[in-house]
Amino acid sequence: MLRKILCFALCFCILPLSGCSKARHIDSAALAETITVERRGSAKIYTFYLLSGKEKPWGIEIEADRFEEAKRLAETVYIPNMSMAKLKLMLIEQEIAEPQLFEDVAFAASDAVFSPLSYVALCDSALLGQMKKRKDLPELIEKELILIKNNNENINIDFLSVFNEFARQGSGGFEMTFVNSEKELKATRVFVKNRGFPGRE
Amino acid sequence: MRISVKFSSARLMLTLLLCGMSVILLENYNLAANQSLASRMLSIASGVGLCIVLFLPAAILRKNKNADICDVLKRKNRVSKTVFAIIFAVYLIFTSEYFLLKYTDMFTKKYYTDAPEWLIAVLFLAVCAYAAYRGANAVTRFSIFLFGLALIVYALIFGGAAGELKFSGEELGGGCDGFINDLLFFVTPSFAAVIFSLTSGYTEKFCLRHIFISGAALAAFFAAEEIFERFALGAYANQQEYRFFLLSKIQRLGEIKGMEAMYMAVVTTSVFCLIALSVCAVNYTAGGNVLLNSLVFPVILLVLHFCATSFISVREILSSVLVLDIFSGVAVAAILLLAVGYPNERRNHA
Repeated sequence: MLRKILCFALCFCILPLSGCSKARHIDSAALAETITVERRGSAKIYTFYLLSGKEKPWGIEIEADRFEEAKRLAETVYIPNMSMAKLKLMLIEQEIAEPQLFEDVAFAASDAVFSPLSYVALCDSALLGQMKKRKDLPELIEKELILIKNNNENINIDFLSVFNEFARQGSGGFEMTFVNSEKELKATRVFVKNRGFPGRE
Repeated sequence: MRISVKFSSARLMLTLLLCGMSVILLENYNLAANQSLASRMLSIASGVGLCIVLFLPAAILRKNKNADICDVLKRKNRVSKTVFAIIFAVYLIFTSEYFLLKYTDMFTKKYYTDAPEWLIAVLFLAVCAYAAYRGANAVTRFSIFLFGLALIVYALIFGGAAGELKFSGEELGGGCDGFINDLLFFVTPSFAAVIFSLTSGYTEKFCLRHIFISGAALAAFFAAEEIFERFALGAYANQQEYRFFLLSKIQRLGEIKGMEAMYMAVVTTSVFCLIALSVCAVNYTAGGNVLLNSLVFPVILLVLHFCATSFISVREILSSVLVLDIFSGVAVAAILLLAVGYPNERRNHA
């Protein structure tokens, strides 16, 4: 009897002490699924596309120089309940790929919240414009990435493989995907120079 | 109500194997960077081999004399009993604190950054205290199921990450310092020898080969983990703390990606068994009121935890692999001293 009372008391104490007061409720949580990075004028814009039930994509634009800064601003200022644990895709405009790609992938590699298997690809500016209108586009892009990976084993489509390619010494570059949207949505191979780690030429 | 019933020695070894796995699950920049695969494998084999050697005094005492350290201490005078009990108690508390600090650190850094470390420690120690009060029999009985769960989780993690393996040309690298650093790390499972020496008196059907099988299984697990981190994670593994957590994130089975929750489950069960068994062992050594011991020692662990989270220098000492290994050496030396002296005492009594 005493044991039961102690168990109930312990369970009762656990609930208020375990941080339930800071819990993020699912209906107010903002899950970022896709991030795009583009240049507009002299500024870099990070757009966080959040999971939503609306017909059109719901994206929040944040001006920042680096992914780390954009994430910090998103979490503290713009999107307070944001969670990036469900990030599936990151698209970087090809014009700013160097050194943006390495910097952003290196940051994602150092943060526990990101999955190493999240997709990352380069794209053109037209695709980034379409992302603001079409909600089905991220899913189509993911399918294209998986398709191109199945046909080409050496192509790198996620944070894990892209980061490891940058870390590999002695390699001049590696292949990753470029998502083209000129006529139809298509992922093609593109060669990226490996000047990732500081001091490497 | 605790019932002192003999249980199978194999069950105790299984539990200790589960505890030993926590060493690599909570590895956090403890291993030397840029060591070649051959050097790392050699350090694993040497470290685990040394653990088996450190097991031998307790094993021989158990096998030949059918006794454990607690039986030996009963025949000692009061001063000797107190001195040796203090040595083992301090060692076990240090070991428990080492793993508790790592666990709470991993928990707050990887899962719940808002949760205070002290709260995790309180809840965890409350459960361990109750388990220790129930005794080693109850803990080891529970651990059979936990071991089964752990096997399933490891199969899923390694199986799911197999698709990411990319075997490239191995670069030869590293030096003697790195080898010694790794060797010291892989000797940390030797805490199992001390726990065994203090709890084996409650076991029956002991067989020497249990120790060799457990050692081989542990070495195989360490080696598998090293291969997967080197060839599946690659350079990505060094970007974050707790590399096994990263390994669980790259697991892929169909549409399911990432098994961080299962990693948390196996770490929790391993550390729980370790701390619960350690407090059991302290209970057996200290003697007296079991309920009081089961409360006092977790409270000591909690106080040490507070000190470690408040003062970095305390944390550095309590998280030091070198200090833990030195303590292990002292504890095993104490076991050897007691084990050697035991036969002589029996002859004197006769």
